[in-house]
Amino acid sequence: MTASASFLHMRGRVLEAIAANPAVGPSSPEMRARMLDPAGDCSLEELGFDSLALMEFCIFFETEYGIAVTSGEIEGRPSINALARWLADTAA
Amino acid sequence: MDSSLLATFRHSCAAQAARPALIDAQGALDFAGLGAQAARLAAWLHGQGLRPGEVAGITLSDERRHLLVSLALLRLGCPQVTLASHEPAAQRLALAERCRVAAVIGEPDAAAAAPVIVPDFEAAASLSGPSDDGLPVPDDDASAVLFTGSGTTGTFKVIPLTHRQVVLQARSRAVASGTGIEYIPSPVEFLYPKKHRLRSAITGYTSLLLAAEHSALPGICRRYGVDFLRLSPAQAQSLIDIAGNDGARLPEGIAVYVGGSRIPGPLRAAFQARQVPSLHVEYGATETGNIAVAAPDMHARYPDGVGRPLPGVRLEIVDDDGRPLPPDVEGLIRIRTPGMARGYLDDEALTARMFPGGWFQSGDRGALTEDGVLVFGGRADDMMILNSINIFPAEIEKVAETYPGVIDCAAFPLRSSVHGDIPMLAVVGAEGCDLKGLISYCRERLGVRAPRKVIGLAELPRNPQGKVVRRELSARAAQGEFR
Repeated sequence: MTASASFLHMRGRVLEAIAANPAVGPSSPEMRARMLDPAGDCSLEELGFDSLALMEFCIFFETEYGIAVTSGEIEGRPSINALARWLADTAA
Repeated sequence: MDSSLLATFRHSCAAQAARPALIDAQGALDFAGLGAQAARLAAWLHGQGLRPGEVAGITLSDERRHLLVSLALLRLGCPQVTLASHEPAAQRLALAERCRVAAVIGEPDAAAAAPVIVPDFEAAASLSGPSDDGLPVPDDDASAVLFTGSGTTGTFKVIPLTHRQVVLQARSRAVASGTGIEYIPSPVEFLYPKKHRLRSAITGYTSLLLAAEHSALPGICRRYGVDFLRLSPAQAQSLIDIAGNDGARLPEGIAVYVGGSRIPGPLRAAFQARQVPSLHVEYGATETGNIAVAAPDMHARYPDGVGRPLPGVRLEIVDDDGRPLPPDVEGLIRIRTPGMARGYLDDEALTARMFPGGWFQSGDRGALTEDGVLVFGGRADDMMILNSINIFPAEIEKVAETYPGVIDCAAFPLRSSVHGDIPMLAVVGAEGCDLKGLISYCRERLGVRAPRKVIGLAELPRNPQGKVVRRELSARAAQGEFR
């Protein structure tokens, strides 16, 4: 996969992990559009992430994709694109 | 010397009067203030009709308020049980009923199982507020706290501790005598932080009550001069991950305690190398209080060691028939501590099984080395530990079995280096059984103890005796078969 394909791939996974958690998500149509648009971005904070949601996010990545990530690693990349970029780099 | 809980707390409040008892975003509350506010709140609650001996539920996520209410209830002599805001309402109701809760102290909530008392903290804080002088002093053997946990049979267990047991557990905690600031960066409505915050308040330690991201923990520890930092294994792992970032190292001189499940040797080594060497690994149970602690210099020699038993703790390793085993032979761990519980609320069968002959035998396995170090061996049963939360498969299966179309099911762990055990559920479903809906069904009823993934199978792996082989399901999950 090229770098950008791999980024988009991981971005899709991040969106799936967000969709799987009913406690977090976009709070307006504008935010939803920005979340779905790879040229846009959305911070985890505005999506409503707290420590429990971070833990669920990590668990989802491990159960669904076999990728072990920790809350600490996610906190350092606190937006959808930052996370997707890091996951793409790590997987490469 | 009067060593009752109330006397011990009052002694701490007098001896440490000007030292902070609680520090949160609002600022510090000193011990004199904490003692006075808790006493006035006790009198205020009595004025609301709450009587000594009546069980009170607490549904308060605010740290300071929760602790004030908790201490007030101890003063008043009302056994307390946390009905956590993060738990599903149905679970809070069931727990309130089990514990015969007479009133819930918390914010107004339509789903409460009992009358709600919304505490008036201003009355409690005001100097002209009510006084507790006229309130009787609770008996040492009166019930003080009902702690709750996951039970082997699928229903949660309720662990009643008396005033005497709470204070004995508080005193025997593996913290050097003296004073200091303790920081447990987890919410008070969870069992582990709640019991430690109570112990700290009673024995005169300062509790730092700040919610923070992992990356902020080292800075907070430095700014407030934290002496004792208590972490879950997942939090410890996160601090290892961020250790290379600017300002992400814990300060020298802090003592870090990690407990709650088996702490793997590689995690200990990485923490000591990348964060600070002063890592202690604790072993304990709500039923007994702290049992043992492994000092920082022990991990290299005993990567699975949890230390030598604390003073006052009797610990034996026995075989399945209760016969003591020689050193270095693994068996069942059984324990006696001065402040141990005597059993579970309304559950004689479980009490008989877990407290045989006056010992506490949790199902943990281990061995004692020649020089008296306890080496943790794992569990005799199928209990899972997700971060610091104990989950028995039966608890999940009982809920899943009530879902339409579930014919057979088995909960099992996906072993995770980060979280410990991630609960999963294998289901044999009738045609048309909606497995997706089953996840949210469990989530609504089990909260954080729900399975994170549901897998449909044609049949469950069973041994010749018909018992489900969870180990095989875990092995298949580890191979990635269920992703």
